[in-house]
Amino acid sequence: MTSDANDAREAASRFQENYKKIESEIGRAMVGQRDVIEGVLTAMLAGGHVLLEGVPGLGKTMLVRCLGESVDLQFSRIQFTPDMMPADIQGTSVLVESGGGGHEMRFQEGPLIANMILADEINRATPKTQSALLEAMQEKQITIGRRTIKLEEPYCVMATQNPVEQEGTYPLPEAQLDRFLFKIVVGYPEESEYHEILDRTTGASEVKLQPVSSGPEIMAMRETVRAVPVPDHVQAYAVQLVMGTQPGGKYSPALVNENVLLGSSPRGAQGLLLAGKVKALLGGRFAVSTDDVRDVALPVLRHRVIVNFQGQSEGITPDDVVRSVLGNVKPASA
Amino acid sequence: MTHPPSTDEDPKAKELQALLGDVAERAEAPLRQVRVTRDAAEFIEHGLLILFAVPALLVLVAVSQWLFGLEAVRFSPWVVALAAIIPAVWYALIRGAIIYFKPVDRRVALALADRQLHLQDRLTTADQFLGAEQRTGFMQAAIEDAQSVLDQALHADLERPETSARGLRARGWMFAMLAIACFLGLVALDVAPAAVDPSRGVTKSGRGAAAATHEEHDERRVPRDPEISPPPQVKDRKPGGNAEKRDAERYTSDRSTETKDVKGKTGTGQSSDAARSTGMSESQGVPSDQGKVSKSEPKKAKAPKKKKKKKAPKEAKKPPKKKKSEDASGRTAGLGSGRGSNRNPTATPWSSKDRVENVDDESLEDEDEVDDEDEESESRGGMQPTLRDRKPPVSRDLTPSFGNRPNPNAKDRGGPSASKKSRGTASLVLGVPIPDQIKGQPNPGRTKITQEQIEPRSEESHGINAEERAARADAIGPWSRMSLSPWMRDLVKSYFLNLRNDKETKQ
Repeated sequence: MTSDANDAREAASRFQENYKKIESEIGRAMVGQRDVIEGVLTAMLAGGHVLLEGVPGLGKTMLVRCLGESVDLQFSRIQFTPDMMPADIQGTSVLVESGGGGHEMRFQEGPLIANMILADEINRATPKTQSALLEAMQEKQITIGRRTIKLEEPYCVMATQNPVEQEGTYPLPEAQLDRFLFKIVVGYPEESEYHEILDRTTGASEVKLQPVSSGPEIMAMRETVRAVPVPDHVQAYAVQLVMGTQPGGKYSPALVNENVLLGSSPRGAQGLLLAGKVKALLGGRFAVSTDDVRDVALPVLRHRVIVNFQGQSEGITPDDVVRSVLGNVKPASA
Repeated sequence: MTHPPSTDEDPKAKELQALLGDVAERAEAPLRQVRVTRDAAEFIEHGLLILFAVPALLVLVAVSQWLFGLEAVRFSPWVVALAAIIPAVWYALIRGAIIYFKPVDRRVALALADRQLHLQDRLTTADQFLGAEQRTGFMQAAIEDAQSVLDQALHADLERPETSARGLRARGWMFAMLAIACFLGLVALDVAPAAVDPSRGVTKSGRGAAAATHEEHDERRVPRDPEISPPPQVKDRKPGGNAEKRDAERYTSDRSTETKDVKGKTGTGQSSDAARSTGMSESQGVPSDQGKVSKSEPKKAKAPKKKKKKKAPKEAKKPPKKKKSEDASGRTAGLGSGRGSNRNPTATPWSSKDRVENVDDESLEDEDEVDDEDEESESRGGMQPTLRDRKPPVSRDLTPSFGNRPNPNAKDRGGPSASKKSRGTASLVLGVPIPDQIKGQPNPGRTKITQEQIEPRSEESHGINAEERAARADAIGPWSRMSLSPWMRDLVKSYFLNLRNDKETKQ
């Protein structure tokens, strides 16, 4: 065994160790929702943002809050409302009294300037305010007037939205959706999990989470993720999956050609490989496999596919489209 | 096998690559079988096309022989079957062998092992990373990771992956059915050649085939049409000999009786000599089917008939022509006779109006038209445009008078007047005969009578007395309404029934 290989093994084992710590700490407060927790952590470790979708009461906000408490990061929560303006989240200059009785303009930072942002019910804000997140999510910086503020890494936006009660909401534009690495659909817990939820939340004791990881550790984990190599055939498979979601593409099934208005962008392929790397490390491997890409295809691609009118009228969902692509595009060995 | 990736100087890496090659070789056999299974439908379809092509070619040859009267070349059905099956089977075997022995991609073979042993691409990834120029720590770790599972891959039995073989497409089935049909057709042609020959003979003679075939054909035709057939030719007789003369006389007499029969049938008044000469010319021409009574004779009989028709009615129709011209001129000059009033349906009882017909007018006009055209055409040496200046000018006199002559139908205080003019307001009155004058034509057309020939009938109606009536039980009639779905119809029905019940209970 070479030293490089040993270093890689150590990095991978540290990665798994840290991951387990964070996961178990969140698990102290959250009951069940293993897939959701894993998805959120995967997105955070891959350097992406997460959009959580689910009906009220499933613990979306609690999950993100728990993650913020488990990792020693600056956590910020924004409750989006229709009357919210970009300055409300980015920050603005306010007039304050200075020494000697004078006044001066001082920049007041908004809640967007933090490490971990919980954008609760993001679809209740107007597109103008939603767009204020674009630069922060992609460029990791905020420009207000002539001032540009670099956001501190790790920076992760975790937004939630409610699939029902769509009246008075503003669906996220495609440009905004594309910037989320994952869209995780939060479902109902299982029957056994209900009892534990009730025991934990209706008793007198309250679970207090402790930070088990820090920002630098998260950054180190991200570096480990980036170091995982991708074999050619896996990369080709990811590209084919993304092209399969594009109507009229070489790998598109008939369902896509007939029912999809817009397919995934190259960001989708980036997301597939980054999330696949995290999955490979969590699986104890040192390179991404086609199985890893398949596992993350649904949360990575579902919000990048827009179903056309015909598809909507026939009740076809983006999940159906992605499953169809997964069935149509086979790895080289298949 | 494709070319393996380049190895570096590391002996361990070389050893690992060789072991991976062994795994790939073990995975090749099932992959070859999969390929053959997957592509079987395609080359079977091509084989069926070949199977169809050979009998189809032979059927084509047979049809062309039949069409062009060539001598038929017959093949044994077994020869045909072998000629079709051998190339088809040969092709299928060769294609199958090519597909089977085509080299398998090393990475595809390793991927099969990965998938069947649930190794999550470890072998494929290691094989690729072994060929990389620079290996990172993670790459080296991945290679070492693959080494740990290599022993498992070398000793595992790799199964043939499940592959759904594509069934034959409609094209393949069509080729198979066509091949069978063509083969059966060829067998039928071979078994029953007599059933095909008569029709072939007719076609041959019609297309001017060889003389030998014609003789054979004429012999066959003798019992069918013995009267028209030419006398049998004796090869050894000399020209001008007695036998020939006798034959000629006998034939001439035969022909004369034949032409008489024909004359009686056609009734064209053709002289027997002319007919005989025609018959002679036919008999002395090409001996095949020019003497037939099938198509050529009616044509010949038609020509003189037409000529005669042209000449004879011309003489017979001279007086009507003159009469017509007088009639036309008289009418235009306001000299209508009593006949004009008789043709007026308004002056006749209703019962006779239904029978008002201008038969004489129509027949005269029609014949005149034909006659005039023919006459003009002949006198001018062909079809000429009809000119207006050949007719007398139309009188502009609108007064219903008789010129200086008294009205011949006048009684007492004037009596019935002359026939009404067919222009102006009179033409709008029902029952007035209006001769149809077509612009550019020399003669008036058919006379139209704008009158409904329906006798009025009295109607009997039964009055309905006013009385108190019960509620309507049935629907009033068809209503134009949008079609409702069954559940909506039931809903509306129940609503109105409830409404009615409520009203009844309140009352």
